[in-house]
Amino acid sequence: MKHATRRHGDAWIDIVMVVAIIVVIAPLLWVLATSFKGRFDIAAKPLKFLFQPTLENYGTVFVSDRFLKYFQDSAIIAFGSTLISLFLGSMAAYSLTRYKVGGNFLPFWILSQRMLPPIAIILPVYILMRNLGLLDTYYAIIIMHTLLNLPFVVWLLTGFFREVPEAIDEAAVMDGCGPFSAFFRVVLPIVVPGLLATGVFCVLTSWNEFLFSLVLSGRTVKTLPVAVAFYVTDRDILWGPMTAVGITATIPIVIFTIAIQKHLVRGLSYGAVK
Amino acid sequence: MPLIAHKQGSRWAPFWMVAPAVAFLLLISIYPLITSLYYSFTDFSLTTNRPARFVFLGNFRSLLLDDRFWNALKVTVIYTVGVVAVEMTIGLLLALSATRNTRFRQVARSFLLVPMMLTPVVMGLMWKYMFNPENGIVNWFLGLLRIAGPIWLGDPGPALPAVMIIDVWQWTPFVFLILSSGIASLPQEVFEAARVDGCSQGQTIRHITLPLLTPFMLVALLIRFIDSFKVFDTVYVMTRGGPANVTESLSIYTFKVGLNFFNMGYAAALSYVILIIITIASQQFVKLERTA
Repeated sequence: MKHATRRHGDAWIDIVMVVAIIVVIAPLLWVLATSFKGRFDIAAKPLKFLFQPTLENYGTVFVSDRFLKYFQDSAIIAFGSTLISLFLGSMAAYSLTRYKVGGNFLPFWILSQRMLPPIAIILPVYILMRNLGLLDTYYAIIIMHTLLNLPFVVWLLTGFFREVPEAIDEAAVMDGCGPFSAFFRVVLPIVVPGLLATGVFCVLTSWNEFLFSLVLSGRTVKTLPVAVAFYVTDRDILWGPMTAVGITATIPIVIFTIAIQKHLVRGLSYGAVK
Repeated sequence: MPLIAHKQGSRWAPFWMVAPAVAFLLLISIYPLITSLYYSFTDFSLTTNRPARFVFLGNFRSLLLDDRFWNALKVTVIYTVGVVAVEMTIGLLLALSATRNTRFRQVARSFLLVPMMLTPVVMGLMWKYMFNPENGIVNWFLGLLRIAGPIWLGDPGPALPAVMIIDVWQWTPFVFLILSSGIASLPQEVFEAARVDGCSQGQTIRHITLPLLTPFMLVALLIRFIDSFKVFDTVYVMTRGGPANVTESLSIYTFKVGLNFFNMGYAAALSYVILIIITIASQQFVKLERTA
């Protein structure tokens, strides 16, 4: 309703929006502030809003507790599962949109996999990975994150492929391309923006995932959410270092989110809303 | 019209393009699901060495007599219904009022995008810090309003509302964004016609916007329902289901039975209950969407 005339009360709505933003952002700012506080300032009562900032917490996290390792594990797993999901998913989505393989049933079945609650398969997966000797390796977690991402990639990319005019692939086929080369050489390059947006979603899903990572990780491989969760219970609750990890883990998310803003609603609603 | 792969030898190419993805899903999701169904009919346990015995519906019969299961079901239903209702209401009201798009609102929107992308585990811990009764900022804020803040996560009373507040905080913007992009995509002509015909704002919303918006509301409802029904991460790091099991959701209980007590058969039966509830409920939503 862009063209609606300016009504009275519109300013009130802006005030409501400002309140909404404060509710959303204030907790994050408070946590950010805490991450720069020394331990006495954190424990201070009444609360301290002015304090001498220190990097003590970040030092504890990255120097003494080697959190860089967990960041690295999380990144390897996130990018690994994203690449596999994009590779398998883009081919499948292309074939589903252009050649209608499996009719209406197959796309729906693939999407329904996304609704599957992880807790429903976690026990057999744990035993399977244990028997294969894959517990505490990158592979196990990458495979399970690919399971979460793949249906999503297929669904989202189907939308992007539908927007590519069919004349383009027809021309490629006329020029003697087989379906594979028409796909990889001609169509895929056109949907690169869609691939990137989808990829960011996959990276974030994997980066945030907890249940599979918790069950399948161990002493050698541990993703960030798992490391943070144990950080808190193993030795009391160290709010300072905890907030420092939280903030550091959040920075890449904020950057990625801003990068794909335009596609975010479409992604979060599985393409149901553009 | 589907394209036709007409080069010799490429007739099967479209099939081979889908095959790896389908094979992956069959192997990593359908195979475990079937295995889990099998476990649910046995007394398979990782703490004993004897082979699993087939107990047929024994696990499901025990479920019916298990107070902790009924408690978990109750907690999950209260959680899901509560957060979804609040998120839908606030999200819808915000979306309906902020229809006119301005530069400021575009900026506001990008701020609102942030919480839903954040790591739930990290959010849970951050809120645990803010809820702490010693010097948490939540109780400090309530103190400003002359309200004595409760021991949020330590008392059975406020613990469940506390974890629900986080869900509402994180996901209301999502509902708002879906609904407001829904509103933006509605055909303008209808609204102009309504204005010409002298509809009041209330009438327009009731008779035009809401009916047209129904499919979008159902999408938001379905996604929020599925995600909140399987809530695990935030509860796990904040309370582990305590105090006195008041925040023990079905996912948390299943996790404990399977991976803390290693009672795989019973946990598999529990996980099938979750799966069945989610499947039936989502099918109802999809049916509603078709008729809407």
